Amino acid sequence: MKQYASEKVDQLYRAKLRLGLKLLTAFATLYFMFVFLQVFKEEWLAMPVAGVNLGLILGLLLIFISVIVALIFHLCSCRLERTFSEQLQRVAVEKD
Amino acid sequence: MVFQQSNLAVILFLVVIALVVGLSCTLIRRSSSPAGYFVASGSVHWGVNGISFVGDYLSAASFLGVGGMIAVAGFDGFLYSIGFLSGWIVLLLLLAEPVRRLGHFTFTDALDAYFQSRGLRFAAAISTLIISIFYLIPQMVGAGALMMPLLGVPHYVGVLMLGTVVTIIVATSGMVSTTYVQCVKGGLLLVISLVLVYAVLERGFIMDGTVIVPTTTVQSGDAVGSKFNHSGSLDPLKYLQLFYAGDIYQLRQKGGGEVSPDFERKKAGAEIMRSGGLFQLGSGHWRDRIDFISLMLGLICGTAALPHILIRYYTVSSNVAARKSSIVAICGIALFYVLSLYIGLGAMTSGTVNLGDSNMAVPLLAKSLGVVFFAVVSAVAFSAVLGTVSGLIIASSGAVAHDIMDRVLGMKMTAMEKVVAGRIAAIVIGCIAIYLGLVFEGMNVSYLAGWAFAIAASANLPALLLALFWRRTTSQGVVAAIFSGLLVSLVLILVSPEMYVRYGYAATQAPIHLNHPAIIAMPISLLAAIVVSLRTTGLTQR
Repeated sequence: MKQYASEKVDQLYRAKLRLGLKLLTAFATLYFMFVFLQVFKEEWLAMPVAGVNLGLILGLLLIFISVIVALIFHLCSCRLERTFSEQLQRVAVEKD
Repeated sequence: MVFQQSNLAVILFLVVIALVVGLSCTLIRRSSSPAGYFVASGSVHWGVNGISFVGDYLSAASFLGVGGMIAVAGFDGFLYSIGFLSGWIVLLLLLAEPVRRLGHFTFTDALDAYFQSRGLRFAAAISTLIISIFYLIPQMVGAGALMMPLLGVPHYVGVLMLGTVVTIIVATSGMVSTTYVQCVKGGLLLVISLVLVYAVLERGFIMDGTVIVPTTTVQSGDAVGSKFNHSGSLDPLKYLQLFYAGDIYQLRQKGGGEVSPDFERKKAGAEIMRSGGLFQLGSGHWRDRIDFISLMLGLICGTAALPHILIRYYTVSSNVAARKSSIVAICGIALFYVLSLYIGLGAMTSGTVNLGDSNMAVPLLAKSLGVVFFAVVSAVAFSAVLGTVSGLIIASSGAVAHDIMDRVLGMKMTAMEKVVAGRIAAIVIGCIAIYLGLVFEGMNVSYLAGWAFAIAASANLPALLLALFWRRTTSQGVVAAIFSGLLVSLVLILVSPEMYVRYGYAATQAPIHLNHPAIIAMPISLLAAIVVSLRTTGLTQR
């Protein structure tokens, strides 16, 4: 049972890591797109949108997205932890 | 005008000092064991830890530096905010839980968990010390800048005072008092920033047609209503829209620090809100573009490798608590950076910018809103420096006492002796911080923090990622990553154009025209780790 639990903990750890990597890839893509737009297409970011420029809106959006990504990661991690915990409990009951 | 002191500010400043020193002395018994001293026995609630993260991270570089940079350079200052925040996503998604799972007292514990190597511990401890000292520089410079208008004392007295207070905090009750100081400071920082932004939006703009006139220049003379229009209170979007559509007078500085609008020179709000104030990206040379990419790379990768941030994960009891505290931190820090945009623009349009020292924009903006504001903001800014410096000193003292003395040198120490060693290390590092704060007087603190981030990103992040996630990594590979990252980033900083100006030469004489080293140092560090690991496979593979 101990070994099974340990395996499950490792599985959970890897599952969260995979989730983290996926989200990070998405976020880093947006971040570096923003950086490269600043560098190579700065004039696009200077375009007026809703009374301010696009660069400012994208910057604020990136801040907002970082909060959303953090919350998504937390919610998905909680769900994974719940699922793994239920599986462990089920096996423990079956063993008993 | 700029450097008049306020009695209320002095009183608040003394109250802050009395509170934190009193708190530290009260909590001294809770830090008599190494676990208590270095990581507050891992018993901090995740909510408290999250706000402490905010307090730890939002240093002088953020509170004074980012606001000041936006006030002086416009949109380019805001780009720092985006980089500073984005690093937290790397930390949360990749490192928070593994670091918490594998470590005990210092980030070196996590790095060394799979290897048990003395060489690796030594390298990581040296890296921790260098990064912490580099990050201490902007904090001490910010403290000195703050003390001048607050107490009317010279820069060196301010640095000396802060250094002494913070050393007392850390040397007495270590992480326990540091956590409380950071938590209170983080909460205060968010509240005062919200109040400051509310006041800026309430005040709105004073305009002459479409020209936004610095508020401070029309307070006593011309009546609003005859020559000038008052926009009235504005909502956040309307504020940005009016700023974007308006023209803003450039500021000039007379002798004695007094700033006045230059009525001959205006700049369109639309120009200020696009890149160009700091970085010459659109029309600039390729090296300016690479320097900017390097800065943004350093900022996103540096946060996840700052030792004083990583050790906060050991102060909570579980991996879930570590994750939750990161999320609280991200929400708090994101809110702060959005607010800092308004604070910076508010300082610019109020004319409350000390052009000789951009770090003073936020306190001076507060001063234009009233003496009470100024007193409170200065006290909070002081506590901002206090919280971060104490975090950095505790990380450094852990590197000396736990990593080097205990694990590397194998010195047999009782628990109490280890705590005493940590306290002595804290005092020595406090003295080094004071000295560096004097040497770098006058530089923008966010700019200086950018260097610390670049060194952390180059030396620690590749090592940490490979050690945790690549099975073929060897301890030699990790050591190679740390030392190559440290060496290359330090050399690049020392020969950077900015440092050449410090040495008294022209910036153009610098051999490499790169102020931010991450873009070169990070790949070299990563490559060194991979090559050395492959060459030493089988020796100490994890």
